[in-house]
Amino acid sequence: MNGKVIAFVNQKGGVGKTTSAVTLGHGLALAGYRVLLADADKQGHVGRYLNIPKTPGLRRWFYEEEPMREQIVEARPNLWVLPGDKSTNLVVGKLRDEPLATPMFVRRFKQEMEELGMQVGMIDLGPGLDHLQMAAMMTADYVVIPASPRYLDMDGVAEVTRTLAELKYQEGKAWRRFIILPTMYVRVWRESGVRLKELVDVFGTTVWPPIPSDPRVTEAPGRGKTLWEYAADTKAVKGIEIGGQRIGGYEEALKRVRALVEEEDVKAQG
Amino acid sequence: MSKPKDEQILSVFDRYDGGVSLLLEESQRRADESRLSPAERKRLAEMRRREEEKKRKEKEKAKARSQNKMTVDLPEALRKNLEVIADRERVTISQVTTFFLFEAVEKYEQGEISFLGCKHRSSSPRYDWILVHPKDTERMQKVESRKSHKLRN
Repeated sequence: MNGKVIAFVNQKGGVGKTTSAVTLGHGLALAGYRVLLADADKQGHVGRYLNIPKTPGLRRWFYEEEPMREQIVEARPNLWVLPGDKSTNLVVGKLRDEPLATPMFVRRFKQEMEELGMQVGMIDLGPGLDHLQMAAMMTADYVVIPASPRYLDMDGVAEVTRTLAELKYQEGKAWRRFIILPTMYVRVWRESGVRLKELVDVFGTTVWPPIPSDPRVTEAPGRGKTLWEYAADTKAVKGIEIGGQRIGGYEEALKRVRALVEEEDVKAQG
Repeated sequence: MSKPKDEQILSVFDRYDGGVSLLLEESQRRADESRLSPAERKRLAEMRRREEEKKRKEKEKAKARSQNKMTVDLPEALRKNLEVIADRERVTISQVTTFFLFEAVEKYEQGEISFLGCKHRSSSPRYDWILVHPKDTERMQKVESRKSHKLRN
């Protein structure tokens, strides 16, 4: 099986990139996939979330060119983390200053991930659209854009999709798919409905059913637990109930991510 | 689901996800209802609750019935007969079939009808016999052709 890489990007902060990456990554790990979760956010919140030490793993791997296997930590069974911290700044600098750094990032990430037997690689990025986000998007087979349905987040989505178009035009990069994952959806807020409508008007089925807003999601990192461990029965995981069926939530998003990985594999085999 | 024509804008993505559509419909409904008076909203909510309760009960009933559902292969002529009877009596085909089966099962158990002369050897690893009613010409033809094929070989 070829390892698939999924990048979580949005220029806007606080939209649920880390929560989505950790939740979906751990969900895949629980389903038996070997998952590598790279923390490419200078805040190093993946480590905090999973209750593992914040270390300069990404910097050592890419800036100091140490092997990935020496930097990764098994945070949960099947879930391996390449941790990050504020020194990830040096990685950004290298990507900015060295012309061949981006292709090297892409090649090394994929190659070392596969050498480690990882089936899925996830890159959690910090807010912004700098050289690290570009390199991650160049590495990714899928780009997930978490976005809460609020006015300013719409701008973040526009920036990322514009950048994707630019990368496609300038670098010839093609993605298997990009996905807009609405997060923090509040059913009774008109703003949520209006912005979700705006998103689907432009991006159609690329917009997945949203993750409902839930206070337990904000509590989970403080307990050092993922949503599957801390709040598996909440609506953020199970989705919103409408007319006897459940819509959205991380359970559905996980099913779709699994389907993407499996579907593409079948195609590749065929 | 396709977008309604008057809502279509220039986009390369022309459809909504099914779940997202449901949420948008709900959101639109909420926005529409926000213009109503509190009493009207309450009445609507009560209506919707009753409707959902009804649907839920129907779903439960259907679920309970599902374990007694069977799929059987019927000869075309027999199926048509059942349809004609159901139509004439203005009842469902399921009820007509159930009625006749009650009668037939009772007669079988009392020895009034039997499978004598209707059973043919089967080559299936699962079943020993093929049971064919004399009027089931379709199945009879198949059994006969299989027998003659075996004799030839």
